[in-house]
Amino acid sequence: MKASTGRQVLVACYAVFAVAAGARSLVQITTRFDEAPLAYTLSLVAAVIYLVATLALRRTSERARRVAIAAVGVEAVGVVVVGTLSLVREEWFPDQTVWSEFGIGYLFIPLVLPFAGLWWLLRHPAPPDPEVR
Amino acid sequence: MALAWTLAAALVVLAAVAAAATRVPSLERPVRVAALVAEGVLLGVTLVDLGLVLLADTADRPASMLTHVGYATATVGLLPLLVWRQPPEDPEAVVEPASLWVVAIALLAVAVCVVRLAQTR
Repeated sequence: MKASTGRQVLVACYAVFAVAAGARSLVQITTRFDEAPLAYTLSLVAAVIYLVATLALRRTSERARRVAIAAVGVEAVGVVVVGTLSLVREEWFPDQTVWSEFGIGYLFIPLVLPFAGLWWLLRHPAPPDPEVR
Repeated sequence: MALAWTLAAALVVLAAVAAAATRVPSLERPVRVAALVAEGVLLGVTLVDLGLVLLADTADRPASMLTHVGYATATVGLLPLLVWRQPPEDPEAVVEPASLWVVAIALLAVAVCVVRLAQTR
């Protein structure tokens, strides 16, 4: 798989999750926020992280790569922490988030995606900027 | 619901063919044309669905119109959103079409949306 193909696949995956998590969190927050404020706020946080990662991954500059690594790194920590807490502190999560139980509701893709993203980003440094010579 | 599952199954099969087409170049053009046709069918089916929902009695409408319209929008909008490529800044540069892997991912995501759209009726 070419480097550009890998980037396109990551952007597509992150865009899908940005749309899914964003739409889900907006509906949850606008219609029943009081039922599970922590879960719904985390859904919104996840949506924002997915959106930032999508936009950063679309660009090829070193700065964008650093932003993408930061966003995907936060996502990796988030899915592990929220996934663990949703199992050991079930009462904190009366409703599901994208990251609940390590993304079981999304076929564990939310768990695999950040580590695949980090692996790809660390293996593919940004091309040198032609203007910086 | 049967129509939704049939559409979703067709989209999953097309996604599998798109993934296979990354190894079989002769399949690339038929897959891209089929994806375009699929988008047209999805647009038609979604518009008919929304029309029926709007014409239905209040009691027969989806429990959450916001959710239903959201899935309808995703069903129609995801494929173009994911496959569309930003034009390069250099006007002479050639825009390559989206990778067939992206087409496959988009088709799978739309298949999920089609089923969820039917489930929210």
